[in-house]
Amino acid sequence: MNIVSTMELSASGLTAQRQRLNVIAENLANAQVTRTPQGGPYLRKNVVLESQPFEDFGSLMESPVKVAVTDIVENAEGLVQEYDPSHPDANEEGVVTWPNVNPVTEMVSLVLASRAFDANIAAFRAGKAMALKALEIGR
Amino acid sequence: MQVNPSVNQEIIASSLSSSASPPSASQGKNLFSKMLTEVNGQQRQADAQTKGSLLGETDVHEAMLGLEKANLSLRLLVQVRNKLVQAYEELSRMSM
Amino acid sequence: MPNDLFPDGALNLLEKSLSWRSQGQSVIASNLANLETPDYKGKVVDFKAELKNHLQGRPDFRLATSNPRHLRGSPVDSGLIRESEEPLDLDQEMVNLSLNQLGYQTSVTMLVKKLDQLKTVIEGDRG
Repeated sequence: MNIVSTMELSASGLTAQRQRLNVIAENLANAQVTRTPQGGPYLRKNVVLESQPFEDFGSLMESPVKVAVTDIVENAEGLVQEYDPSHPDANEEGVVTWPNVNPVTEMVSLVLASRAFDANIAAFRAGKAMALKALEIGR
Repeated sequence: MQVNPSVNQEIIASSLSSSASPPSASQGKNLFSKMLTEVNGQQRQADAQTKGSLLGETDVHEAMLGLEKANLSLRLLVQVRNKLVQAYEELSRMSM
Repeated sequence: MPNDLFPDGALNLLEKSLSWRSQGQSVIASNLANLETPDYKGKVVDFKAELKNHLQGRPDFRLATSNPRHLRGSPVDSGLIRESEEPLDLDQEMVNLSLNQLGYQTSVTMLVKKLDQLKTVIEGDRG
């Protein structure tokens, strides 16, 4: 397999991890939002990563796969309910619904995404170093 | 590996010992032309591999190896030609 | 003169590849500079397509002239630079930058090797 295609593969990993990072940042920023334009609290978002084969390979069995973010889904489970009649967004029973964003969980995901990003960069650098070494043949 | 070492050693041995025992001219010529076609083939293959690497079909290290092989064979061929010419000059000096 | 010796050979292709890579460099640089610019469509250099075009001997595009005073224009490497359908992505552009530089280095190294062959033949009188 071409070393250049391998590096493109790492590129897809970088893009995917960065998008994941963006979504986590959005979750953290909106962790206390009780009023969204759609009404109701902010719903935690999650990325769906999918493997996609390269287009220009004939046999799909051995072809390497790259990763892509196919969907960003909202998760409505685990919304926190709190009894606070004084809050402007409280409903008729005085209950406020807070987003289901747990900062601790999000921070862990942040670190994981960041590490994955670094790993992809390391893989890319290794591929580039190999290609450059190949250019030294016969020097 | 395309270059056949035994053939080349034959040529070098026969051309280096030209002063001692003059080899048959046809023998040297045949081996030389064999080397020539080999070098030509390697050049063509290296060219094809280079084009392939630019298109992304061939690996870069394959193309680099092909180029280096072609280079080395060409240099060997040039050296052999020099030795043959040297031998011929010696012979022609002898006959004077 | 070397180009006359090998008109369609790898030497010509390598030279062309070098100029395409330099163009690619400026395309990527402008993409990176305009990452935050609204309404900017990222540009992409399609090396493989251009190489295939060149190998198949595409016609030389020149402006049609009906008057001797019309400008003829320079031969255009049409199809080399095109707008990308995908949104502009920092990571992808950085990767393209690296790959472009690698491709440039590869072409230079191979070109040097091929020219060394010519040198060997010219300076044949060694030893």
